[in-house]
Amino acid sequence: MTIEEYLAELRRHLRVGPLARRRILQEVESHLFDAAAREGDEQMAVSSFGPPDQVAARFSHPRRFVHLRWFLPATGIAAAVVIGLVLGWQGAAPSRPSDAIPALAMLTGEESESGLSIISDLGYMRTARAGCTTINNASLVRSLTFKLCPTLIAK
Amino acid sequence: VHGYALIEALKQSSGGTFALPEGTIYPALHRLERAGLLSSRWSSESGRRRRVYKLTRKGATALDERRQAWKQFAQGVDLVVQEG
Repeated sequence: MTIEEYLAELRRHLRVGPLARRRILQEVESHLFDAAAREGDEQMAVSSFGPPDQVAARFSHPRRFVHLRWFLPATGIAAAVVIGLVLGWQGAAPSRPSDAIPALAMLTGEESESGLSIISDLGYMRTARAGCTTINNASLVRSLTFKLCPTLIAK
Repeated sequence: VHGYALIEALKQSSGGTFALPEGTIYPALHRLERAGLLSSRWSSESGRRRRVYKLTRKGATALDERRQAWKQFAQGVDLVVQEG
C-alpha cells in the first residue's frame, strides 16, 4: 500500500469533523513521508503505522460520549421541569418522596422502581436514601446534583 | 517536538523498550491537547509541514505530579520485589 492509498483508507474510516480530519491526514502524511525517507521503504513506513481502520478508531471520538454529553443535560432539564410541575400541582413540597420520583425515573429511562431526586445549592428539596450513585452535571447547571437511586421508592 | 521525533526519542531513550506502534502516538497527542496538557502549531522545516507540540503550564504541572506518583509507585514495587 502506498502512502496515498493509506491516507485514502484512513480518510474513509475517520469519524471526526472536517477540520480534525484535515489536520489528522496532514499530520499522518508528514509522518509517513518522514518515516519512508528515513527507512528508505514506503511500504515499511505504512505498515509500521498500523492498519488504517484501527488508527482511525483511535482518533475518532467515542459516539456514546457525545450522546451522553447531550443526554445528561437534556435529562436534567426534563427532570427539573417535571419536578416543578408535580410540586406545583401538589401545592407544596411533600415531606417524603412521592410518586413523582418513580415518574421521573421512568422519564430518564431508568426502571420503574428507580428513583431520582434533585438537590439544589439553594436548599434541600427532596430526601433520598443514602448510598445512591451521584452524577454531578456541572457543565449544565452547577447548582444541581442528580441522584439516581435504584431503590428509592415512596411507599 | 513533532510526533515522529517523539517516537524516535521514546525508542532511543528507553533502549528500545518503548517501540510503540507509530499510529498510537498521534491519537494520544490529540487527547492530551484536548485535555489542555499540550499545545500545538504547524511548523515548516526543510520544506515539510509538521505539527509540533509543546507542554502547557497545566501539562508541566501534571507531568510533575505523575512523575512523583510514578517514583512512589516504583519505589514501592522495588521494596516488595527486592531479593534478600
